[in-house]
Amino acid sequence: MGSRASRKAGAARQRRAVDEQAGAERRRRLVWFAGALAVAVVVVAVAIAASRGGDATQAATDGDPVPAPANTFDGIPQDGAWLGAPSASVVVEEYVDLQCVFCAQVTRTTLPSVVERHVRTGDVRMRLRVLAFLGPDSVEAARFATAAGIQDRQWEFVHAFMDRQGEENSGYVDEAFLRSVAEVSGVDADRAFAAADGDEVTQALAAAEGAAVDAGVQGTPSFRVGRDGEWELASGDALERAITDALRR
Amino acid sequence: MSARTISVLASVAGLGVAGYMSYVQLGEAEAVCFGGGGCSRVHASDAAELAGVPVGLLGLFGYAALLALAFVHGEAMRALATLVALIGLGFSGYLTYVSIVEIEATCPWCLSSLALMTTLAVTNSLRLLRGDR
Repeated sequence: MGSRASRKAGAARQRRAVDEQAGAERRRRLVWFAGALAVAVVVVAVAIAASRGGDATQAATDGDPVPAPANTFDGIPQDGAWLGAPSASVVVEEYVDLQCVFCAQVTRTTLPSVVERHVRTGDVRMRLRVLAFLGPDSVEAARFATAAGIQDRQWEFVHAFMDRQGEENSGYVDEAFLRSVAEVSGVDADRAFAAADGDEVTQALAAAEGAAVDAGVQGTPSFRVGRDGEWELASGDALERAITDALRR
Repeated sequence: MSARTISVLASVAGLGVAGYMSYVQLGEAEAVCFGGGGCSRVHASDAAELAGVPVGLLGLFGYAALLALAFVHGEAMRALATLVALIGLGFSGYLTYVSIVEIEATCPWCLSSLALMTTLAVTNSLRLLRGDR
């Protein structure tokens, strides 16, 4: 009898020991998991900070030198939003929001060669269609950029602006910022501010928005390449090929 | 199918996806972008590199590490695999956010990688928490 009770007690102790060991292992694994999770959060945060640190926004706010945009357009006729000779056989419309990050990348990478190879030679005429759908800073930027077009300096202004893009809708598009961009792009800031709230600018922006809807533009940057009434939508990657095709037609 | 087997399969698939993305980024080739996505836009963006290293290449290293760790035993190794997978999941999630919200384009290859990293994070976490071999 006594030996049976003692065997039962021994088995219970054994079970408790096994349970305690299993519990300790579970806790240890949870500690491993929590540690891995914590380290992962830190590593990802550092990686994101490093990734953000390298973008154009940071470069601009750090005051790094930004290439002057004037050379790209020097000597090319401008008329409002138009760039290039009116006699050009192919027209390229560029739809942009000035806060759009990828618009700025295309502006830096693709456009200079298009301007040099096709616009400067008189084959292509480009037209800026400035949109403002990303938020309040886009509206301020679009009004001022369109006003710069009245001085035939819209292309310089837009390119200089995109080289200095700040954090989206952070309120960075204030008077001081617009004046600084105007200065490097050769725009008379006082004249542009006076025109920015006028009817001419309002109508131009409404026309750009209407044109985007009619063309089926679904994002920026988008390009529309046309010749003799035939139009083709193209992304930045496909722009060069679309222009070449249009020139061959 | 065990969590380890799923990890191995997902790692192999990830090697294929990240290998192709690395080829596109390093070879400056045009990505085959099924589903009408914006692969070229995403690959041309600032988000496509981390400290000058193409993210496709980082993914390649990550998947290779996860594949190797699936064959190594021990709790510390399972914790390491979980760590690698969670980092991959976090960064893939961030890149997806950037592509959709800032670049306004999606790349099916990047979304595939996010799905694979999610699978790997779940399976490796389960392996660690359950004490699987």
